[in-house]
Amino acid sequence: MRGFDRSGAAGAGRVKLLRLKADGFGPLRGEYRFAPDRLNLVLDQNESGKSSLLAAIAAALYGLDGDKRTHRLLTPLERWRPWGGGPYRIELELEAAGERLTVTRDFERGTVEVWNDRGREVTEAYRLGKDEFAIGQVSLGLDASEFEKCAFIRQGELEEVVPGDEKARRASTLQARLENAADTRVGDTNAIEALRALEGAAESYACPELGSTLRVETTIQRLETKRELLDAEIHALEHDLESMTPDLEELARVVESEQEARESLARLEAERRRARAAEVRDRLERDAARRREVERLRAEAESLAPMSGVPAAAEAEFRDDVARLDETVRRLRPPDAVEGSERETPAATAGDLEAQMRSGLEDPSRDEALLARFGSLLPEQRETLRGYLNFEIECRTELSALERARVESRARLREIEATRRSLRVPGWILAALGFASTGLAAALALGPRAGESLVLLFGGLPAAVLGIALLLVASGRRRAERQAARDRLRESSERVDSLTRRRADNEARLEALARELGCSSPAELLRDWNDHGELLRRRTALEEQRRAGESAAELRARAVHALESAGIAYDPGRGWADHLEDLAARVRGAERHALLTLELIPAAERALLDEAAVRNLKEELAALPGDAAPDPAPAAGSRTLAALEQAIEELRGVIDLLVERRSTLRIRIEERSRRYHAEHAAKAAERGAMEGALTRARRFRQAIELANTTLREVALDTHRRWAQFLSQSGRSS
Amino acid sequence: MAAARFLQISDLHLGAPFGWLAPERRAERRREQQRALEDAVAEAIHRRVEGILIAGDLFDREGVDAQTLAFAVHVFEAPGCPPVLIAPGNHDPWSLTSPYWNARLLGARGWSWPEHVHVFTSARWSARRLAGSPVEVWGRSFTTGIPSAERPLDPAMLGDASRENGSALRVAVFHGSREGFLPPGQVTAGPFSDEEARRSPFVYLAAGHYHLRSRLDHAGGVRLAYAGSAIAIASDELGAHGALEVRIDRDRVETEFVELDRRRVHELSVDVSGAASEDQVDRRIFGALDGAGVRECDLATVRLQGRLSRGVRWGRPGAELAARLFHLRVDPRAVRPDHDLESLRRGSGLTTEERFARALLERIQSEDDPDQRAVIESALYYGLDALRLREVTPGYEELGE
Repeated sequence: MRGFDRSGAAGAGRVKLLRLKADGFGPLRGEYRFAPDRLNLVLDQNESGKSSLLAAIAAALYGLDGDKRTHRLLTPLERWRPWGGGPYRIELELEAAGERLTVTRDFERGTVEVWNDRGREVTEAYRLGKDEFAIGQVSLGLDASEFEKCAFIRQGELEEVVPGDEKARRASTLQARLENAADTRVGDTNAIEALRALEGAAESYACPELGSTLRVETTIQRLETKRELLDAEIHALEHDLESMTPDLEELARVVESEQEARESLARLEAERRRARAAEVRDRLERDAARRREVERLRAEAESLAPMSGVPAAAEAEFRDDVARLDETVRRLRPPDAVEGSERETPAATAGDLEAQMRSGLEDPSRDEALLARFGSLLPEQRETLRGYLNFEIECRTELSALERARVESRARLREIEATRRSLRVPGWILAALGFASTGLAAALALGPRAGESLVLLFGGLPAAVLGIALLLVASGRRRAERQAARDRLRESSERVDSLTRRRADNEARLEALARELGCSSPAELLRDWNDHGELLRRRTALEEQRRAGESAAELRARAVHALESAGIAYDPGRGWADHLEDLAARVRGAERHALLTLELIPAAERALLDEAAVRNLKEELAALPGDAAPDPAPAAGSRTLAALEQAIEELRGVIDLLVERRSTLRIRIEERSRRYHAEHAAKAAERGAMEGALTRARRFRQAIELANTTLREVALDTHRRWAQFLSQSGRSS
Repeated sequence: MAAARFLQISDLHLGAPFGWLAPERRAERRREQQRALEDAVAEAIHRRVEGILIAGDLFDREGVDAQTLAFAVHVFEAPGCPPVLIAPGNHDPWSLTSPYWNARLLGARGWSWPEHVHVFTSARWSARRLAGSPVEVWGRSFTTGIPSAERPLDPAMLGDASRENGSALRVAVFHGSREGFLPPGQVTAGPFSDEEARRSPFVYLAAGHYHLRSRLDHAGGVRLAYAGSAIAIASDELGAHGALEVRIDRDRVETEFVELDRRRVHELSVDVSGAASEDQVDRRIFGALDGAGVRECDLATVRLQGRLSRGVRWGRPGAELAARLFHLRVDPRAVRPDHDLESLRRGSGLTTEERFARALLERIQSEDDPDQRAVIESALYYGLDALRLREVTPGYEELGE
């Protein structure tokens, strides 16, 4: 063992254990010897007394405490009383500071003796206090507790020699205990534990601002990050606030623009009210004018009401009747009648006409005879007569035409024949010559004049051929014309024959009829028939006149009636033209009345405003403010109501846009302001807290690092000195 | 009977975030700001003053929330409210883009200052005559872009204010820094000297910018006065806060404080030496608050000092202590753990513990930088905690001197 002499002297305090004799100490009884120059390792079974041996050594060096005030349950003095009873005494032989000492303690009696190797008792040299003899204190320089910390590994503490846990191994090793003693006055902590505590504090730094417990480095990083985030957020809020300025400026401009627009709108609306008032007044005035017009039309219609019954066609009919009457009168008027004497005409009655008719007849008895003869003719007899006359007329005409056609056809045929002959003759000649030559040629060919036959052949053949050709051409020339002319001639002749036969038949029938009617001859019959026709025509003319006279009277009556129907009294002293004029006026009046009542007045009434509309307009006019009074001097080029309405609508649209823009800007400005003021203060305060926390964390880290560094350096140096001291003490012993 | 009376108020900082307050207190404090202005208007009406002089920083910043803005433009519409004259300060300077000083931009959002509210919109001094009053109020504003180092009371700056104006009494309202009296943490804006103030053509100068009341006296009474912030804006603005009623005669000016902030700010120290638990620390703070007469509605800053028993960590007030008053701020920078440094310094120096302590104590002594000294001291205590207690708990980061 080596104690550290508090005086600083090296080598003092070194003690070697030599022998322990226990006459009675707990379970111990006997003598134990130690090798002072070796490590003494005590091994034995459990409960064999190993710890008791160490306790006995400590008791020999320091005694046993019997103070019940300190140890209420069991004092060390009582604890180590021999188990088997008997003496309670131990003796320890040791070497201290080069001197061999024997320490004897009798715990029963409470005595202590210390003898040196020269046989001298040196007990007093180890007295500390009244009855206390701490040999260990003096020899080792350690008190009992320090001695136990440095030198004792009791039973149950063996594991702590090399404990399983590294930390515990560190803390509980002998070295650690030595370090404890070196590092602190109390000796219960060593520098390593302190460093561990410092490092542990740096590893688990609690930061309330982060709500976490982390390494201080990590805490600092997070605080810095959080501060940067807050800086960014604060900067963003401040930037937002700054950006309010242009928005505010724009808002002011929008407000001013809106104000101007509203003032313009007010002016436009005043102008519109004036225009509307003018329009309403105008409508009311026009309606009043229309009402006056309607009244006028009604008055006119009322004045024309008596004419309303005049038919529209009265004038035309009257005019027609008068024209027909004039025509009829003219037909009835004697040639020498004076123009304009139609006033006296249509006095011709049927009797007058009969008389006139009789006065124009030459032989009344003959006429009666004619009427008797031909009045009872049968229809076929009449037909015969008519037919004969008609046929005669037609026949003569047709016969003349047929004769002309026959003549023409004959002439044509003669012409055509001449033409054909003109070709036929040469053709016959050539053909004859040709055939003759050819025959001759053939005849000569057989004789000695064959050569000449060839000549004849070559000359005769073409001629024959040419002649045949001419004949063919002549045969065909104008064949169709010839045929047509022959056909026409034939047809004409046939027709003539037919007509002739029919004529003969008609004459036969006429003759038969003449005999039947008692005429001497067909000629007489025809003559009488003609007279009869003339008689009939005369009688028809007279009848027509009679009817004309009746018609004239009727027409006159109708005309008068038409006048009277129209409310015009017929004045024989006035001409029809005058009456017509009056009638025309009444007809126009009736037409006008109809137009008024059926079209003009209804149309005018439809154009009128109804009472409710008039009332509304008047109310509207009354409700329009005073500035709607008519402008006595309206500005040139003042706008129409429609233009004003459009301008107002457009301006309202502009105002709506401005209001919307104003609202948007105000919301944006107020939102930014609200957000800034709601968040900035809190974030600034939070940033301040972060800054404070950061400062504290950094200072803490600095302090811990400084403490750690300083402690480490100092502890190393201190331990080095201790190690040197122990080493020197071991060598010198 | 005074020739004219005004109510002077300044540095309301409407819309201030109050980030140093607990989140649940911030909105309440902002409401108290508004209530203070409402009370000021009510006082002005009740006292029948000629006008209300607002010497700057009515708003806390160049942009405030819509509710605050709506409140501000409507608070002066109370029936009987006298004319209000506002001189914008460095926190709410006038500018063409100001959302509350530019009538056009304000009108765009549907608001407008009442007609009897006049805002000085130029860095040059300009006058506003009050109907039926012998007083001519001169004002100027802080303007964005104009350096705050301009001296508002320099004779060259006074311009027309220096000209003869007959018998009218000239009163100035402006925002500026009285040289030699700059509070800690405050910035200089519109500096002026006492001499400049005395030589100015004004019978009285209503100044704003400093949040604590102060005044410059002369033979005729008060020459210049800061009403201070109408309510405490920061935790170091000790004492009562409110407005000033200014009574002006031709030969004398007097001011009377009108309290508007129902809360007061206190500062006290508590020794926690020997306290063996957080609860004991709280108890000592409780006792100190009671002893100082701190009310439940008040705010207080408590500076702890002394040595806490080893192993005792005091992080924050307990719930009961926190609820004791409106706002409690505790400064633990002067608290130290109960390690016997002297003993370690005088010891044998044989153990690591002693040598460790000596090494760091020597470094503390040789270090000039206070921050570094604090770090070394923290390291010392952490090391000793590690050696003595075998545990290290954060708690020495705020050591200070």
